[in-house]
Amino acid sequence: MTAPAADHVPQRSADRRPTHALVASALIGPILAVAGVLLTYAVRDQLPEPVAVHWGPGGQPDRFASLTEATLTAAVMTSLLPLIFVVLGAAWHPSARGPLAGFAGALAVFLGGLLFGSLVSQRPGEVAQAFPPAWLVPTLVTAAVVGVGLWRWGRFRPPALEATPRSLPADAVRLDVPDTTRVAWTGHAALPDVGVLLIVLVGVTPLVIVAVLGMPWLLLLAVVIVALLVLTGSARVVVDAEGLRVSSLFLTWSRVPLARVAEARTATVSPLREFGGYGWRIGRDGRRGFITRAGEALLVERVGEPPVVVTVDEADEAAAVLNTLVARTNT
Amino acid sequence: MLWRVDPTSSTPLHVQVAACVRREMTSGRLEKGDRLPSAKEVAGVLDVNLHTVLRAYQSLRDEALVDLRRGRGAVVTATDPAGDARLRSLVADLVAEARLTGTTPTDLTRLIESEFQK
Repeated sequence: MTAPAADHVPQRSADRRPTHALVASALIGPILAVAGVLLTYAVRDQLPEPVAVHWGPGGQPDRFASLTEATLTAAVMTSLLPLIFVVLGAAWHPSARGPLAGFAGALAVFLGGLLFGSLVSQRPGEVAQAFPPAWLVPTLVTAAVVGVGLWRWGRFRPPALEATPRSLPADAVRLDVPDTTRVAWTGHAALPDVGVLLIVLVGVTPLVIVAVLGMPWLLLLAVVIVALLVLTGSARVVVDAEGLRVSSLFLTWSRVPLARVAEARTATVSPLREFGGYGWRIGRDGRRGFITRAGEALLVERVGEPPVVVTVDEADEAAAVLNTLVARTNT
Repeated sequence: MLWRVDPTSSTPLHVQVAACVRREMTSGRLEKGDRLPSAKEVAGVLDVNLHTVLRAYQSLRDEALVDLRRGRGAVVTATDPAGDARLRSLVADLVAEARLTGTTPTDLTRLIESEFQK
């Protein structure tokens, strides 16, 4: 009996890159920790004892520890904190591994650079502070490069579409329109204004207070946070002949071509339980979501990939438009 | 909101686009202060000329249903398409329904005329 060989190939083994990226991200922390310990050991004679481990808002050190203790703390934090995201990545759907590997890798570089940077900058003749200027920019740039690199390397490549046309389930909601009618749907998903205001108050007020107290550069951080909130707090949702598109200004969160849509339907979303929060999220089963509230949402099942979920009003209408367009491409 | 136009219909495209907006208004899905998608976006999703959508938006402004401001786009100022506008929206629906049931324009006209004579 000759069984088709393709049946024996498990689908998941097709692309190991998400897993490789995750493993790489797990190694960055320990490697940087070892390098940091060696660097600190090499300059130990020039460092004070005890060393400063914390700086107050005025830029003056307010907490000290022995060099051994400070080095050990830096090494443990650099190696272990990023592992939280690696563990999540291992437990979640493969499509979540790329983004989580990027996050873990960037966090490892950030922690390693700033923790060991603030230690070795206490040599005579260098500017000692929580974020030593000579370390800050290189650390942030490297963290960004490593994060984006791991993310790209580990991004999920959906399996190739089969040549045979799929057919939409018979019970999928559809519009009752002639084939000559062009149909499209536009809508938006936005965090309630009260919610955005609350986040701004809770998140930015402490930054502004500290900034006024003597760290003016934190104001810039506050402005960046508010800008990010405004940018990521609402999205335009479009269904047309190209498929589904979810985007905020110049950022496209998700683009699902019609050929990749298996079926669109409505779903009821519970933000905290299913996505752990609001905004652009990845669920543990790999589903992507632009989540701004609980309740009615458009759910788009994809071919060979986890679904995409967007909280919009009149989701049934959006689903019907998408299904209608998909059904037309099948014939 | 749902957008639908039929290029094979004898109704001009800009009238059909405006009818989409009126339909949302009469069904209560568009409220005062809501912003319509930009004309560029609508033109893109329906694959029609930008000027077609602009013309539709201008006719809605002429009916005092939306406010057109540079930079702000089209903002809904009233949600009750009155008189002629409402009639046009109803006729658009009627014709759409007639297409579905295979009713010819002549049959539909006859039906309307008999309704008038009641």
